[in-house]
Amino acid sequence: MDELVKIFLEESEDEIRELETGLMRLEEDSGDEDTINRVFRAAHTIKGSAGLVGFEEVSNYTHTIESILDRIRKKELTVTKALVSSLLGGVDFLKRMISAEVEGSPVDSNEVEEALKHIKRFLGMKGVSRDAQGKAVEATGKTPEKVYLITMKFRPDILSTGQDPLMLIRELMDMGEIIESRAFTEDIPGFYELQPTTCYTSWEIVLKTSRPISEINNVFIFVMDENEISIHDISSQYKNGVDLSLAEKPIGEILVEKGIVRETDVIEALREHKTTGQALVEKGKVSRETVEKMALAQSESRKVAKATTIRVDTDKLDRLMNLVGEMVISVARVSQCANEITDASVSKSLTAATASLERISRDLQEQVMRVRMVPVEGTFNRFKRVVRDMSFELGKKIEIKMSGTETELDKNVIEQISDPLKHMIRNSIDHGIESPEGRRRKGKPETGTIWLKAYQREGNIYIEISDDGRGIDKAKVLAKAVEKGIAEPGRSYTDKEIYEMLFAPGLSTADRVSELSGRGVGMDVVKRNIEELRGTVEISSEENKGSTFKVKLPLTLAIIDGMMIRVGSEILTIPLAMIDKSVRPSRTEIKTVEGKGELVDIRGDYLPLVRLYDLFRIPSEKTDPTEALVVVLHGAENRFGILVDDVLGQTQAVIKSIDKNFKKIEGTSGATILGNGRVSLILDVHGIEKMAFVGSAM
Amino acid sequence: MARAVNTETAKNLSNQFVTFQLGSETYGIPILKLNEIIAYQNCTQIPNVPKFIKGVLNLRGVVVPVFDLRERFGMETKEYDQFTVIMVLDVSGRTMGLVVDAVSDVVTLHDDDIKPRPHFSTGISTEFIKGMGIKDGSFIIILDTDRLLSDEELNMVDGV
Repeated sequence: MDELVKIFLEESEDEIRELETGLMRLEEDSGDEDTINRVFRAAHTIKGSAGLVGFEEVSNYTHTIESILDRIRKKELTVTKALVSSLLGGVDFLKRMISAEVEGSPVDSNEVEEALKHIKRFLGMKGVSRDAQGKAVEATGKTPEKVYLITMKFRPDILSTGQDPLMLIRELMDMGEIIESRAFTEDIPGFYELQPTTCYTSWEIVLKTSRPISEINNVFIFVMDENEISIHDISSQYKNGVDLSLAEKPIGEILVEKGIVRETDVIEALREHKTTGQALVEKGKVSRETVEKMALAQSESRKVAKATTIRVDTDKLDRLMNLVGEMVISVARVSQCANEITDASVSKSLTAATASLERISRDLQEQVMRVRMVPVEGTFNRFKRVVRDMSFELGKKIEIKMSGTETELDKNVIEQISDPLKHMIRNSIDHGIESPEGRRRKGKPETGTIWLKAYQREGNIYIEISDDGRGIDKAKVLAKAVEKGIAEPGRSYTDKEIYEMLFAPGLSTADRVSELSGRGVGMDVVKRNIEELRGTVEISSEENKGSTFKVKLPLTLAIIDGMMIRVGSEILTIPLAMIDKSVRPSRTEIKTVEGKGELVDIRGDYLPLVRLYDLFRIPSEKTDPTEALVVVLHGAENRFGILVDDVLGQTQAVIKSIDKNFKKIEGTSGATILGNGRVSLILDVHGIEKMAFVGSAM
Repeated sequence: MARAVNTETAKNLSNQFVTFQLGSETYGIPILKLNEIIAYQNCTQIPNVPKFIKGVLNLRGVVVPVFDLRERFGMETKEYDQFTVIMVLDVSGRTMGLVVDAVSDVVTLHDDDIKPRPHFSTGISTEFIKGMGIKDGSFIIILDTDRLLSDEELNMVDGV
């Protein structure tokens, strides 16, 4: 693909996401100017870059969307659900146009004309007045967090009017977070002239709050007229709680602005040809700590202001990972050599040096790995759209709440988990949340809620999808499972076992297959996809209270904890999580069935025994189970044992693909490279189970 | 072809072939397909694959499959010695290794030096042979590496 088109494709993907999330935010809060501007800018960027790569139709179409957004921006058009729906539809069409262009077969121009007509009708519409909109925003009370600069200069006799500035400040504290507060004390006279009942001090407070400005005004309602109170929205200056304006100002100016020193002092200090801060400290105008604090705040501000990102091809990252992985292995080899040196004088310093080299290279490996991690926020935001569209279509009222969106996951994992998650959310919307009437009858709020939670615990990432819907009807699931031959009639099952049946192929509890959740993909596919990522999924549910799907995923796909085993001269790696135990059975613990099927007695459980060397057709050293070792593995269906020559020890295995240069090898899920540079195959336990037991009734 | 300057070089290179020995026969592959040549080293065995697949080895962090060309062609096997090498090739985006007896030379063959592949009596597989090169009286069998290491080939032998 043309490099320019590739860049356009990457960029437009981001901008379209911005458009989508922005539009949905506007639906909630139509007065959010920041969002309107952002959405407008996104459309504008797409228009420009589409023109640049020669996608004229895309550019034209985006231009129409941009014009509508411009009308919203100018308050000529009211944001309604219908408008947002049409715009989102327009965005979908845009996505289609772009991918069609990239594939070289642009969308039929009649179709484009039709689509244009559909959205163009918004260009001629009248809007409502500014006032009405402003009120609507206040009523919802859901303004996003803003930062206000509040300056207060009170009349000297304020204290005698029954008003206390401190009370007002406390009231502000209750409204949000006070990021900065400064008291100006220059006016306080000497001790003898001091009048205890007079207020000499004035204040400047930077408040971060989600309350509307009108509420801040209310705080000062009684003092507004006779005192100098001003409230300014300075949100644009702040990012992540850091004052961006500091980045460009000299330290002297900052000190003056914050009321720490007088302007004249700074001018005087400037004459001395030293750094302003230093000169001021020497003159005793300000303490060294204060200057240092300010300098720190300034550098912090510069950092945030400059925080930019670059796009890196994931292939490049993979190559980097490979190299770092190789380096870790080589370093291990060097330190092994160092240990073999007998000359004490050399060996001591060499061992120390290699130990530190080893530590650094491990850190490096971890950092490189972290580069691949991205927050789940982007993916979660995409689900907002799913919830919005689907609830609209099904006539349900659903709110989506998210937490832990900053949780990071390997990029590959995120890409592959997105569809299964989407499917589970669809399930919750379709089968979980009841209709508004149904909910009302049950005494629940009309609007159902879906929670998306992400968090990290130990070496795993958890993603939970919960709803407060009707929960899972166990009797219905069981009846269906019996009907489909998944469960045995008359047998009693635990709740967990019943929920597990939902993941069985061919089981769908919905009475009707809805267009949305029943797209031919069952929960069995969801489970399989998650397992392919070496994750698990669990369901818990309470009738009429709701259900929770809990997905557990490894932090990264690139590394697993493995156990090295030996068969003949080959060293194989088994994922540690799949191993139950390893034993050396006694003669009496080995049983045969029909003279060939072998079972091993593990504390009363008879588990089938698989001779790995037989299955893999590789030479082995030991064929007598009582001399070799049996490693008990957790299969998908049952536990089973494999016969190996030896168990060597634990390892952190960096997973390499075999099929990239070759093809998928049955019974393996990849390879890793051992300390001696040799390749070790990683066993796919479920695959081995299939190889060994397929066809047999197990 | 916008870069006219490089065309000449590319054309020269595409005429070059690396030749190697299998027994008494000389084979050639286009030099542009060749990544590197490494000394033979023991590979990690792969379960349930035909014997001519020697296994996989670690090439600077990349797992590369290795094939024995003698065994692929059903020739008599020979002990690996100090001349045995693995030719690492890039074939349709994949890196693979071929074990051969020894590498001999780099030769330039022009289009008219290469004759179409002849017909043989049954029992000789000609599908991997692209043509026959004649250079200074010697006879070089030009291999079709894309065909030799194609998906089809790799999957066809699955059940062997």
